Amino acid sequence: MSAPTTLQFTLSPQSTQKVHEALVCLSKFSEFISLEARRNKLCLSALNSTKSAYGAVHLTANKFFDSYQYLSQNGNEEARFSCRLQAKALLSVFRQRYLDSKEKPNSIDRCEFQVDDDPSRPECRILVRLIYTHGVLKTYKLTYEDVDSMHAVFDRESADNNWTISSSLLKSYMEHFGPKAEQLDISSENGRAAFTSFTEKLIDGKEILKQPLQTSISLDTTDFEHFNVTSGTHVAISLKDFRAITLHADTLGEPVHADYSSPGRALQVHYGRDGMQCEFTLMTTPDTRGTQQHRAVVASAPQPRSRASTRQPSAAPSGYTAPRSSVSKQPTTSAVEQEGEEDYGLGMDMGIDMPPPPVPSQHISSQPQPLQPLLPKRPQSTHPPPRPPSPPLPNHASASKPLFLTYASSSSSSEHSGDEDELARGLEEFHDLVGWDTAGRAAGAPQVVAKDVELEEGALRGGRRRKTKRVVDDDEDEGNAGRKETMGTEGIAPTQTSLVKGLFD
Amino acid sequence: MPSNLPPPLFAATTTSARHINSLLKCCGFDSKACIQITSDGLRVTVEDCNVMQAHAFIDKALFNSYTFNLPSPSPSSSSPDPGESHEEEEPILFAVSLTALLECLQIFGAEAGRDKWGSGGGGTMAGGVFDQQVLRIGGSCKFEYEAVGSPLVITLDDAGVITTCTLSTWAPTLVDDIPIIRDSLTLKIIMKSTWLFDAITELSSTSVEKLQILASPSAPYFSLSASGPLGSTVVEFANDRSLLETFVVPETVQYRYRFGLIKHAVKAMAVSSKVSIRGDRRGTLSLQFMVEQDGGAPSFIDFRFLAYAADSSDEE
Repeated sequence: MSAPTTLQFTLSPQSTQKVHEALVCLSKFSEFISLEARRNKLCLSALNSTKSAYGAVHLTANKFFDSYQYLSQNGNEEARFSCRLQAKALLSVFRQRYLDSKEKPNSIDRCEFQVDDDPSRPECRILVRLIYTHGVLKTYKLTYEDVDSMHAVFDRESADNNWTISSSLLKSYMEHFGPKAEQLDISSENGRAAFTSFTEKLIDGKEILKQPLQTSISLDTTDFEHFNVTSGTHVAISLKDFRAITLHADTLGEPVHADYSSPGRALQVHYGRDGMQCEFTLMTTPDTRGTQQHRAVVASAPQPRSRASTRQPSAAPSGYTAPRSSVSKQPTTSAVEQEGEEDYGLGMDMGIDMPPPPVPSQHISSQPQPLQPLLPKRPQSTHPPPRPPSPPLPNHASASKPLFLTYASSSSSSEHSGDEDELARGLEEFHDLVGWDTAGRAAGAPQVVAKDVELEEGALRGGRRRKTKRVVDDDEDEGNAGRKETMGTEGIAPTQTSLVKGLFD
Repeated sequence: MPSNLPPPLFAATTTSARHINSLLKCCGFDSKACIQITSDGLRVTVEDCNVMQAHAFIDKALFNSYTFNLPSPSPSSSSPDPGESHEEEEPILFAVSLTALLECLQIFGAEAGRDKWGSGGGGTMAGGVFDQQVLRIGGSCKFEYEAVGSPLVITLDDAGVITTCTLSTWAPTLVDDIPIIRDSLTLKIIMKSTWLFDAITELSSTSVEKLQILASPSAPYFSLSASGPLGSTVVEFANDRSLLETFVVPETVQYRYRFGLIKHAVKAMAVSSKVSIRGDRRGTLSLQFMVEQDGGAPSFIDFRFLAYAADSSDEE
């Protein structure tokens, strides 16, 4: 409590247990957990490596803690202390044990947490002391990194689809999904909502790397405490992430709220209780079944058909049969999209690292080159591509970018001076992206192209499709750099090897 | 039941094979064990790197019948004298694959669910209600060791299904027991082994290399600490009767041990009820675990560890 920044708080056994549960959940997203302290709250957060999922647990100072004190160096009200720890280290402290009935007497009395961020000392240590009722004292000194936390930005206002459901109910539904399922599609139609898990079939030569699997649970919207979703909306997220969230939500026993707008934009799940507010921002795969369906429907229309048709062929090869007739091809697509999502993550990453506008062109020239050739070809095959390939890609990248920003107190501190601009641009592009998305569906031309490419090159569907999709979606030249580059690495080279490599890297 | 025409050197039957199995499992950290047969029971020794040893003593009382015929080679005295012999008797020593022995003992699934908590040293205590081990009531097990150099034959009878396992034995590499000098004990603590188990688990969650044990007659009393790349952890025990049943520490002492070796004792910590921790002036540590079985005399497993050289342990 000397001059340097000091954070001190005390947790009751129950709160300690809650922290444990929260950490278990967050650790499923990332091996690092960021801790950010403010005057009146503490935030634990985790951002996954592809930056497509973000989880944050906010602990209110006066509600969750027995005592909480944060003294900043300069007494600034807005001051923050943030650092990053290995999830493993934190979990070794906040382990499951406090309520272990077998060892009733072996229970903790309280947990004291203390950080002295003293720049004059070379060591970064967080001091945690667990005081047991029977006289055992455990003291931990954890190393941490002095790093700014990243937080996802989510605009709940613009998320017009939302629902609320009991966490225990949700958890019981989740149990139906196989352990290997990868994606979760959430949709609604005619008063029923459906949770569908699916895995895309993945083949490497003759070897089947992943078997397709789809499980769908349909529930009446009255099972929800609140359900307000535009009929026909589909969003797909990572099932693993969602499962981690539901498990945690169930430990709190509070209803789970979800907000989202449209595929390709973020979805947020949040819930909270007793001074603990949890929110998870998950990127949805941009080209979901919903979209597909939509496209398929639209296919009759002159422009759109290209897309629908393209998809189907590609999907067919996978041999996947979707439960719903209309959606049959979807699974494949979605899987591809999933990969795409990962790319997104990459894209984001890059986006963060590089200023969006200038990069794109460069990238195109360097890596994405293959794409460009491809793109032109595609249009030829079916329709001439309405727009140059370059614009579409960027959209995704830009879209994702706005989600994740360093909170760097001053933008200047962050490496890239253009960050703020980038952010702003990103937001703009975001909206644009949405617009383009629809356009893309309508146009559909690029996709056809993609198909052709496939045939020609014999590339994996996944990789190809991804490319196509992106191309279609992307509109803007700017801020796409990240996206493009991503594509360049994975998407561009359509060969099987490259795809596989990308997946397993 | 041991029907032996030429009396085997050693023959014993038991119905508590699972208890024996669990005792042996406690020292299952190495693949080889040295078994010493005496008229009082079996003494199983497992060691690692010549710096730690585990001795499990399987008392005669754990066997329903126990026949030990003194090695006939000894010209004097009566050879076929079951049991009653004495300290001077030449023990029978042989080495056997402990892995195989354990495998045999649980051949009927006696310990099916065990491994999940076993090797890692993490988690919970021995099996729950539905553990196969508990459910398996019947079954007898016969040990036979014909003569020096012959294989160890284990015959398991489980509801009419008879399995015979023949384990090769070989001459043991003789290693003296690590001595602990009883006159110069610097530390003697008896506590519930769950506390120790808990502390060791706590320390092992961060990958650490050395365990430091500090005992002093005042403030920290008894503390275990370790540090690794992720940080450091200290577990301190207050000198409370309910916590440390016996606490005899005349002066402050501090020793360091290799954590990996201490972890060998984790299974014993989990299974046993009490532990006696002793250390002598040279830092040799003895952890003696008392393993109770329902309705029987307790069994003991003794772990001995050599400390790191003192100078390295004194520098922080």
